Amino acid sequence: MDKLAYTALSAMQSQGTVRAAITNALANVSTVGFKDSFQIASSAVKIEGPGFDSRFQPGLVIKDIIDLSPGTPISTGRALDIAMNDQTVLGVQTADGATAFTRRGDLRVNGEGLIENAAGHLILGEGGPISVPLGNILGISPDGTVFASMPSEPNVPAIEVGKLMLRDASETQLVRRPDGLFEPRAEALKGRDFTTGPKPASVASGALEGSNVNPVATMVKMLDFSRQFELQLKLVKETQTLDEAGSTMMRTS
Amino acid sequence: MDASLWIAKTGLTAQQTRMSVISNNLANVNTTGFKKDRAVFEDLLYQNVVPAGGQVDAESQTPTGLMLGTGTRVVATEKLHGQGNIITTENALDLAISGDGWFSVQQADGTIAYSRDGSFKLSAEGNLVTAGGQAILPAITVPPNAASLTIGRDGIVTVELANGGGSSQIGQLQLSRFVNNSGLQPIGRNLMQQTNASGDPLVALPGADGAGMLMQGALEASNVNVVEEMVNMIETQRAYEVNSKAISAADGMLRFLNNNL
Repeated sequence: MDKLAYTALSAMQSQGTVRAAITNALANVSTVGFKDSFQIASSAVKIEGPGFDSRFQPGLVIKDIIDLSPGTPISTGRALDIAMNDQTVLGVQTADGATAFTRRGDLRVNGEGLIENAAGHLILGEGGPISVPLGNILGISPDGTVFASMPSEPNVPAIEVGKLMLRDASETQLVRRPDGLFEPRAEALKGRDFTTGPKPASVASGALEGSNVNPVATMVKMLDFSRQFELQLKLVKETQTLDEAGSTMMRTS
Repeated sequence: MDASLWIAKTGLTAQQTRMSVISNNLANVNTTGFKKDRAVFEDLLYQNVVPAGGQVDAESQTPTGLMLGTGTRVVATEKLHGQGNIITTENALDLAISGDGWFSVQQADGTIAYSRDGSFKLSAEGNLVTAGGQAILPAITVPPNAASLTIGRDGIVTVELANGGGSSQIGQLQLSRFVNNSGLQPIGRNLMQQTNASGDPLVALPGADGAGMLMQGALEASNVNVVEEMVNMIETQRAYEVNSKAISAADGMLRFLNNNL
């Protein structure tokens, strides 16, 4: 069979990966703080050697860096729901004790009095997880300071119980971990804190950030890839016809 | 089969769950003391297709990796414990909690459940019970010769005795508070149970130690915001459609494949 079929096949296979990534973005259109990360281009890789002059295989050029463009803010009015501004990210503790980052801001206090997010990751303060005194009312200021006040003593000013680990990632590239959290791309900083960028890191209390997946753009991309798949398949079909024509010509009887 | 079929399926399942949560909120728009739920979404584990920094050849490495997502799921439903509207009913046995705190309700199996529903009744023995007939703790027994009953903001229950018998204090209601209200487990009938996540109850008198005040002759309505739920419903419906569109696109491609090869 003509090698043309294999060239078309490799295009279909690499486009399958892209379609899976696009569908994942569509599935997460309602996930709080979800960030799209996948950007793709394909480049032609020429196979060198005698007789390979027409052999161009598609190669995927992938850019899998977290796109921190903002999602739609959803106002909830709950004091422990925060939406991060600009390119601010929030430090959390992973299951294995490392530091990772997220844009999820649906915080709550767990049974041990530590602040965690709804996915169950402990939120980090500047000096480790933030412990909250029992029975207090919490508030979060724009710079991420967590205040606690005792409702029975309205005259006592609110005390500062910790400061959220907020970092401006405008100058740091983030990549995704297998658990969906973010970490710096640089190898030396994986699982660690990074230096905050020049913009002030800030949050808005009483709102959540929706997913930044643009459903319209993603759907159009998906349709585009569906049609390309059909195109590649047509080529495979074409090689079949060519081969059939070849064998008819060589028929002896 | 095609990976995107299954990824889109996780989106459909999660949106379906969210729709159930919204429907339940809307159904309980008139339930006294009801607290609305919120479906919490999480992206599923990622597959490491191309590791970042992997060797391409002897000299160069891949600059970025490729983490392929596998979809979404609803990881939890979270009760949002905002205050509901206070509705005046003029019924002496209706109590609303203005602020934090829960009434303790004695269960048949000896455990204690917690409720914000203060539409109390009197049992045949004169005990203060919930609308479901379960005694509240600490027990309040109203004497048969009581003419009227007053419950103060601090929970002190006073009865005025009939035939000029004077007034008498018969007990004080208590409220329980939790570190993490969202960690309470709803068991239906307007009741919640404590869990490891909620922590142990902190018993306080109404109006003291952070517990809310009681309001006699009023009830706390559901905190469901109908407009907000409607908007959530529209969003869920559209997200569902987008995901089913992804399935039909993948289906179309597979059909094309079957028909043409």
